[in-house]
Amino acid sequence: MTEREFEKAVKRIRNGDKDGLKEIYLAYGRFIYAVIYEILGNREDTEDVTSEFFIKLWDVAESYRSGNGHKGYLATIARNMAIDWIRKHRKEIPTAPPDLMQEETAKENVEDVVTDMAVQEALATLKDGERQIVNLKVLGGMTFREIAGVLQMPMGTVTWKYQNAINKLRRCGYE
Amino acid sequence: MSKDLKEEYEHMLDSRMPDLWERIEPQLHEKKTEKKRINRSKRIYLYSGMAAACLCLAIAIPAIIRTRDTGMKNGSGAYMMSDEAASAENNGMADGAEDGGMMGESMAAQEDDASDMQGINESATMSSESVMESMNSWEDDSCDTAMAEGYDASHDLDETMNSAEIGSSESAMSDPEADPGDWKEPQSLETARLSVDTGEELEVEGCVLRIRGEDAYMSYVIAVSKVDGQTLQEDENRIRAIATSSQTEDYKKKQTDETIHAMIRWDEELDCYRILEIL
Repeated sequence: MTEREFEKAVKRIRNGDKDGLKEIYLAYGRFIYAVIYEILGNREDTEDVTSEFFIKLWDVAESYRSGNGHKGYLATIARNMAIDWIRKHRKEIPTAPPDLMQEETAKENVEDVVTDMAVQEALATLKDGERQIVNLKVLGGMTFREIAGVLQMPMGTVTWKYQNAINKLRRCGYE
Repeated sequence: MSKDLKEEYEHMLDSRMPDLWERIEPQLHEKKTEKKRINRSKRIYLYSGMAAACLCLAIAIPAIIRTRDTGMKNGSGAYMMSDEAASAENNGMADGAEDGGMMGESMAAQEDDASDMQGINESATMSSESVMESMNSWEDDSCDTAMAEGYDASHDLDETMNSAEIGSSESAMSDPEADPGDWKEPQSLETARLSVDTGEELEVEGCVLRIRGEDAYMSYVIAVSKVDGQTLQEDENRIRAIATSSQTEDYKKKQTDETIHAMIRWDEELDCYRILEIL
C-alpha cells in the first residue's frame, strides 16, 4: 500500500467507512501480527492485541499526520500496544524464539508444512533484535531510517544487525 | 533471497494467522461523519457569534443612549442644531429674495424648523442647568477638600480633565454658583476662542475644569489649532505669541500638535479667554 492509498483509507475511516480499515487490515494485518507476535510470543495474546490494534486504529486514525511514513506509524503503535499488554499482564518479554512454528496446526499440504518449518528454522537462527528488523524490513518493506525510528536505535545498528540476519538466512538456503 | 524469504514468510503467517476481521468489525463503533462534525462546529460558531453580538448590543445601546442624553444636556447638540436652523433660515431668505414665488413656502418651512430648534434649545438649556448644578457641587466638594488639605488640585485636574464634562457657556452664565465678576465658565468640549497677550485670537479645543481658590485661574488642557482646524506649526507667530510664559523654551520643544496645559482667564474687554500661562 502506497502512502497515498493509505491516506485515502484513513480518510474513509474518518468518514466512518469500515472498508477503509479493512483495506489497511488486508494490506498490513500480517505485518502487524508479526510485529506483535515478535514481542508477545503467544498466538492468543497476539490475536487479541492485533484485534485491539485495528480497533484502536479506527479511533485514532483522525490523528494521523501524513508525511512521516505510515508503516512506521503502524509499527510504532503495534509495538507500544504489545509492550503495554505485557505490562498489564505482568509478563516479561520472551527471550526465547517465538513459538510460532512450534504450535500444532492442522496441515493438509505437506509441502506447506515443510516450507513453514524451513522458514521457522531460518528465523530461529536469528536473535530477537535481528528478527524484529527482518520483520519490519521484509514484511513491512520499511526503510532502515524508519526501522531505526520505530526501534529507537541508531540506523548504523539497524543496518549492521540486518546484515548479520541476512548472512544467517543465507546459510539456511535463502538467497 | 529476499523475495523467497518474503513469500514464504507471508505464506507461513497466512497459514497461522486467523481471519481477525470478523472479530474486529463488530467492535467498531459508528463514527459521526465529518459532515456532521462540520455542521456542529458551524452551529457552535453561529451561536457564539450571535451571543457575542447580543452582548455587544446590550453594552452599546445603553452607552449610546447615555451619550446622546449627555450631548443634549450639555447643549452642544442644541447649539449645533440652532446654528443649522439659523443658516437654513438665512438660506431660505436668500433664496426667497431671488425667487419670490418660492418665498412663501420656504419661509414658512424654515420658520417651523427654527421654532422647533428653539424648543430643543430651551429644553437642552434646562437640562444642562440641572447637570451644571450637580457638576458644580461635585467640583466644590472636591476642590474644597483639596484646598483644605493643602493639595495642589491642578494635578488631579489634569488627570480628570479628559473625563470631566462641563456645561455650555449658556448654562455657565446662568449658574448661580459661578464666581462673580470676570469669571465665565469655559465652553467645554467645544471649540473655544482664546486670546493671547498680543490680542490674537486662536481656536482651542479641550476640556476645562474650574479651580476655585484665591487665584481662581483655570487649568485648561488645550490643543492649539488654527481657525481652519489645522495645527499650528512651530515657526508660526501665533505659537510665539502664546509662549510668553516663563516656560516658553519647554513649550517650544514640544510637538505643536500635542495638547498643552494653560491657565486661562475670561477677558471681558476681548470677550474671550486669555491664556495667562502655559503650564
